[in-house]
Amino acid sequence: MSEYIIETDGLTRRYGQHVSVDHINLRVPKGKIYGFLGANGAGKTTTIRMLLSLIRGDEGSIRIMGQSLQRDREKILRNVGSLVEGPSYYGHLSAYKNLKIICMLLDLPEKDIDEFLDIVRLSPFARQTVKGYSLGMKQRLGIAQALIRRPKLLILDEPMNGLDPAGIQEIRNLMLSLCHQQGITIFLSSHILSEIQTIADEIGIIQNGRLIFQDSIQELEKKSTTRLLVRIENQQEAFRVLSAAGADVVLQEGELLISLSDEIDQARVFNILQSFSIQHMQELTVSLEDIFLNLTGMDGSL
Amino acid sequence: MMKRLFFAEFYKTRKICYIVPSVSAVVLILFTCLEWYLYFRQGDSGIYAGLNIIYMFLSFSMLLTISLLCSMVSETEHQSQGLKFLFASPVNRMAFYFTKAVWVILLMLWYSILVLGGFCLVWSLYTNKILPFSFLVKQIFGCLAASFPVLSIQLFLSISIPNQTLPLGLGVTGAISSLFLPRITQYDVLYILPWSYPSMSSPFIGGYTTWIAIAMGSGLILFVAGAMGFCSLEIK
Repeated sequence: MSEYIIETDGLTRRYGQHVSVDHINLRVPKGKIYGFLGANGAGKTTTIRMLLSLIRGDEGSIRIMGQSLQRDREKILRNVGSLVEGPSYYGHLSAYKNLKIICMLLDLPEKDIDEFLDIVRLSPFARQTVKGYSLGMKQRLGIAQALIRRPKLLILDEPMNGLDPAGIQEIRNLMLSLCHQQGITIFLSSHILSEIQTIADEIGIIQNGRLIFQDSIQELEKKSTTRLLVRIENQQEAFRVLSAAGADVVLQEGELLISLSDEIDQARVFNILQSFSIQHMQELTVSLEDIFLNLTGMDGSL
Repeated sequence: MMKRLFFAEFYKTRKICYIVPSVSAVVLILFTCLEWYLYFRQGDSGIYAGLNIIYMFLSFSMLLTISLLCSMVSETEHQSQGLKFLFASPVNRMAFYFTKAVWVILLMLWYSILVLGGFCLVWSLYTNKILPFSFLVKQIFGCLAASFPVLSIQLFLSISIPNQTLPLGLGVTGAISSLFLPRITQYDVLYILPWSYPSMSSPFIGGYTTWIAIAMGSGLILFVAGAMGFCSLEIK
């Protein structure tokens, strides 16, 4: 049995000449939160639509829970809850009736409705028609619709859209508890880095339809290089000495920016610069956003 | 699955879907009565001329109601983005499409029963002459059966295209053309168009049962083609 709940091989989708998703090989581990990160138009939603069989891929294959999506679509989707680009709801019906329709369609027990309305804090408004709901309430209804079938895999496309900070926090906590307490795998797409950083165990970064990174957040952070900002007298000479020692150093606006590595660590820099008069030294920490921008060549719109 | 889909359809159907066939039937009855009273009352056929007036307008009213119903039951899904949810759920697409068709057929049956009942009521209130009940039944339900190809076309277009302007435009044009198509004798070839079948399937026309059979056959082919097209639809 595979350790991955979602596996795609060479998944590709074209719209005319434009390649929206370009041979991506997703590996989503079971029981984890997988953050699918990418700028607007990078191909996140197209990928998700293919994972849910809303659109067909032009090339490649999708296996979910070890089964081929093409062959066992209905069997697979029975265990998949989803929210793609905003919730689907019948505006003229109440939240309760919307969930009741889902229970009817999927042969689920109606008694669960109240429990899930409670989870998403919609119980007080359960009998009101959904067309009068705020954007956040509709989004929460969408999450309840995805959860009510008690899925093994949740695929959520930008689920925080339209939520206020308290709502975001609540949904974040809900996702964490669903994953860690009930073992549900969550595939979460977003273009907001901080959203992914705080909850995801694994991360995939898509850029212009290509998966340019896929691993744990820790691995992503390792990609960063800690840098030292040094203000010093006689910068030209210090720059020459550091370069000669093999350090990756940049002289900018009278300051030296030194990238640290295993060979050139902080102690070694001190050693090299001991004959110079150091005025100021600061270690620069690199945020996930910097790493992301670095990986995507800083041309992604965030 | 079919039973669950059917009950779900019942739950989400807007009230207007029940109102439209009812209003449509009442308007047809009232219009026929008015037309008869103003222009045909003093003719040789007397009260029986009413059957001719039903023949004149039944196909138009029926096709227009079918177009409206197909658009309304589809619009419920388009507005709610329900197709996206359904297609991402373990719901059989073919069964879903079939349920929609059955739902429209049931509403049209309700319309046909109302038209039949309404005429029987008006007839019995107005005259003591023998009601040609079986003729009326053949007229109304024959027209309904012959509308099946148009229903198949309208349902497919309405559910495939989110913007209902095209399906409704075609529906209205088709309903109007049904008033004229069977009366064009110079170009018999026009009779093969599905919009001419309802008028050709009246007991007033010789061999009308053949037209009903042709309509049912072609309707079935169009319906299956539409269902297959729907199953391969992509939700963008």
